[in-house]
Amino acid sequence: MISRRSQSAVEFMMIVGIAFTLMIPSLFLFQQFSAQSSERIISGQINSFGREMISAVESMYYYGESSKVKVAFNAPEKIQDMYINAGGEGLNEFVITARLYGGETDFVFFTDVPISPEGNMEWSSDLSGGIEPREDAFMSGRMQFSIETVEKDSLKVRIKRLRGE
Amino acid sequence: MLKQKRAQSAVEFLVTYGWAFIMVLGFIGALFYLDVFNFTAMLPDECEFSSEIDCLEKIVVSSSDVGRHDGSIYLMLANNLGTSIKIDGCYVRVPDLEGDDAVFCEDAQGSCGSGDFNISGETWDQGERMFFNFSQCDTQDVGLREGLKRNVYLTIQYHATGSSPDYLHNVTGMVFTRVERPR
Repeated sequence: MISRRSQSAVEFMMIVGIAFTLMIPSLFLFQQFSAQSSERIISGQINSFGREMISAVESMYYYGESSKVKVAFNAPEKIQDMYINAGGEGLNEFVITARLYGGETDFVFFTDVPISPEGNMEWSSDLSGGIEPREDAFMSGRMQFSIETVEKDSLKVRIKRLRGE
Repeated sequence: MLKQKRAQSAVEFLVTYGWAFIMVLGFIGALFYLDVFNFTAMLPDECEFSSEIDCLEKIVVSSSDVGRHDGSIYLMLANNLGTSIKIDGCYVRVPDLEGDDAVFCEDAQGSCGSGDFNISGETWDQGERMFFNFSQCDTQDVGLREGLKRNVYLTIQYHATGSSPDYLHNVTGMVFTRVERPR
């Protein structure tokens, strides 16, 4: 009787042991795959948004004076910064910096349309409302931008972040 | 008499099942030797950059002989940025066991077409393939040993040739592959 009980106990232990042996590597592999696909998704989202922004900027410029459009974006957490490089010589750039693939990567979207640098680099303070933003996430969540043409000396496109609209 | 009988049965038990025990130990040892419990080795090779850079080929080489500094990293990358760029620098790093990054190879020798040159300052045209060769790296210092699979991060600093040289950017990519023996 005792021998029967011990046999079933050993069998139970063996089954549980085999199940754990299969489960632990599977969990490890799943975690790794999930982390990698998450970075790919974020990269895709940033690219899609950047292209949409540049497309809107170019459309507004060619529509001419008094053109305006709003662009919305659901920013993922890994974005650290967003800014415009404009006013220099050559192409203008819309840059999104994200922490991906173990380091900082700038997603740069180029355009030859003149962009007004007005309001540039103020987005982070706009966002936080006086509160220091987290170091690891410049901004995340839904955000809206207005893209409009402004005429000063010449026609330019201005990108502005909208809050509470 | 009873004591002697119990000792005999104990010895018989050991003789009968000792072999089985040794065989089980040997089997477990063979599994360790064959890297069955190295789950990292089961992961597929990766070479991931953001969509601006396309990774076409990757090889990481490091000797297992102590004191040799002949590690190399070879990468074949393509420029997908949509514009020509000028490379301002590039470096390779590996996270050490404490999780801190260790930069261990800063200058790449590049070849794109014919001849060797330092890749910094080179123009990389849209769609063009560029061969990045980081040689004479202290790969052993950061734990890159032959047969292991580790993450290696490459950062390229650049500016677009059509933009101002003041607009510097970084692009970082991750290479995960088995470290090969130097030939």
